[in-house]
Amino acid sequence: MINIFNYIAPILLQAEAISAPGIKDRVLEGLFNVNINNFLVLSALLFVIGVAGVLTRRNVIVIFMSIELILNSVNINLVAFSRYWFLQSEGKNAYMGEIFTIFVIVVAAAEAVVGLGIVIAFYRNKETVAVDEIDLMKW
Amino acid sequence: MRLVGLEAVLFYLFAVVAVLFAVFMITARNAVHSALLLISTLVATAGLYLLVNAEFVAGVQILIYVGGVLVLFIFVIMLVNVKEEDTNMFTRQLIVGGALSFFLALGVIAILLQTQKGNFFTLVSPSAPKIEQVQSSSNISPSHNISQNTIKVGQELYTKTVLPFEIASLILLVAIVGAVHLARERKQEKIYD
Amino acid sequence: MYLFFLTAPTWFSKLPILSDRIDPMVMDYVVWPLVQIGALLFVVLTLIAYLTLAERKISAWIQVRIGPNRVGPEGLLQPLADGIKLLLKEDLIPLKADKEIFVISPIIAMVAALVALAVIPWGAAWGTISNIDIGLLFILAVSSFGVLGIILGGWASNSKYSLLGALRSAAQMVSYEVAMGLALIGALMFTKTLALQDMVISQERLQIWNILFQPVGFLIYLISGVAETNRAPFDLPEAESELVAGYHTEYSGFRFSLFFIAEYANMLIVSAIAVTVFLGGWYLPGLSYLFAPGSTLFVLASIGVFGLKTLALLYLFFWLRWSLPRYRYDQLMELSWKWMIPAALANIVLTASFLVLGQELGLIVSQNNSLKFSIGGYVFLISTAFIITVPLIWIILGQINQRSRDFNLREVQPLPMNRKVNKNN
Repeated sequence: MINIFNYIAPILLQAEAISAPGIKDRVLEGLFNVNINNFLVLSALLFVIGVAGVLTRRNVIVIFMSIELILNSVNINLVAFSRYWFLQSEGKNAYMGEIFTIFVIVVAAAEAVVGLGIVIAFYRNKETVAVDEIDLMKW
Repeated sequence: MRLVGLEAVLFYLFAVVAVLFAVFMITARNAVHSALLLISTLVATAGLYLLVNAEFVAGVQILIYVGGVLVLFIFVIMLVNVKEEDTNMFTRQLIVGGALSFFLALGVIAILLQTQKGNFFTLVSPSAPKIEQVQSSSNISPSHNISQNTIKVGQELYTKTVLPFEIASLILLVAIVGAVHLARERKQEKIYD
Repeated sequence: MYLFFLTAPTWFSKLPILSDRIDPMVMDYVVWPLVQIGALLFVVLTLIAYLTLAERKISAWIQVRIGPNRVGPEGLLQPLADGIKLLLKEDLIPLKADKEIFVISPIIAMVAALVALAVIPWGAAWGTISNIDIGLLFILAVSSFGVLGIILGGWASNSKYSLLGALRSAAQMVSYEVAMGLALIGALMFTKTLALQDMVISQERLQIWNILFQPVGFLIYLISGVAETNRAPFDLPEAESELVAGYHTEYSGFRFSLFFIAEYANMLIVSAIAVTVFLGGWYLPGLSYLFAPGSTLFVLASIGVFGLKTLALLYLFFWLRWSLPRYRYDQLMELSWKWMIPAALANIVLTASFLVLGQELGLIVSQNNSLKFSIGGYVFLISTAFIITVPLIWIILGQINQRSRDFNLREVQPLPMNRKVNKNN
């Protein structure tokens, strides 16, 4: 069963914390101390925007570009954790995040190439790139 | 890891630019405009990588993503010669897709809030370590003390992760062969039509 | 953030007027780079303007005529006249062109070309503006960014010829970029760093220019560089007798001059990187005997040495234009993919194997981030580079291209015609 209170409790705690005195200075100081959470929020935002792009656009090339945006948000996550982990673990396996990011970029490039090859091959037959007109196999 | 002062301002600048241009990208009508806005997002992301001292990844991002993958995207958009999309705003796809992404956003926000356990903004104790100063070892780089990021990434890439490296080059080979085969003109079929 | 170790001269923070008002640290790290950037932009933009005049004069002298000589004394004010003419022309935007992209694309091309000037080591200590540890990767990345400006310029003009010219030009640039990157890797094995100032310093410590270790790499880099900047003999996409003027057909006035500046700045960057990586940068073998290393005169002399070498390579660019016939487009692409890239790959493999062989034989010692050669090491590497690598690559290229080598000599058979005879009258 989904325990909804687990999700609402932090929000309620936030609401209570907001009414505490001196909150504005602490919020400002927290805002200007950028740490891993800011990177995670940014990555999550870009991920959601990418998914919205994939689900709402009609042009298959723009859908591919939104997929690249999703992969890019994952890259931000990896690099941020690489730097965070570097300081926590005194340099052991410190650059694994960055190396994995390079592999993600390589695989994204390979996948974009093959995907665009498919788009071109399809365009030669049907003269369209709208994703709802590519329905040759629809029953 | 703690970025303060000018670095925090730059972080917010790059982050706002990235998110703003990403939103513009998924709502642009013209496909070439979408590609250009994605390029701007990727360049802002490369700036973020530079802020956390990951210079090699930033260089690789601009070289491969912007200079390779997106140039290929623009080539294909021009070859396919897309007209602008029609302006009917509230198609069924848009409503369903928008609703699904909204619920995804809610779920993501819930997870983020839960991991912070209520202290989302006022977070950092002053004893958290900042980004460390660059290691100054003058026997490594001949002239000045420059960042060791490329050297360390190269050392780890070719010793610890050499197997994924070779597999990545195989993936690229497969992609090249596949793309050439897919996009080839079939002369045989044309002649014996 | 770690400190970027920009080096200001020691006398700069002690200048009389400003030193008592501004903190010396700010002077060294904020004001001095601004002075450097201003001086560099001024010098480079003037140099580009006079490169147009130099090209016309040199082309004229090659063709046994005199170039422009009316405007100033010996035509020296010709770039000023050209600039004024271009500024005063009407600024046309084609009717159905995409206005934002039409405006942005020359800006992208020019900015990408000028940004790369920031990491090139123009001089010894405070002659460089910045020495980042991904210097060469930065230059390659920014060059591939400049390709975008060209594609978008061709597309935004909304004309078939511009689009075709832009696509051809961009495909050519992308193909030769791969060859350029691969050719540089051979030299990277000797310098063991991507930072450009460190490359020059490693050549200074070894007292040798990298061209002696990598003649094949230098040739491949230079040919790819000429093709990358769309210069003759690879200028099919923008030659006057071909697709009108390619991607900058529809541009007039100041926007055209932005594309022009971008092209000449690209030429300058290709020459500067060739000088840095292969020809020893600002290092000349006797320079540290003439001037005390680190003094102001030394730095100025090193800037002069770098400038002379770059101008020599630029003269080579101009010379090539009127010496070789133009390549056809398919010959151009074949040259990149079937000749330059296999040669660069073979160069990497052979260089690496000879380096490892040298280390096994004890002639080369590889320390932390530098190589140490004995005299035998120098002799071994230089002789294998010239005696083994060059002929071997020649043979490999001949074997790969055996079929296409005879293509132009064979008689072309007519293709089978597919005629559908209409028998129903």
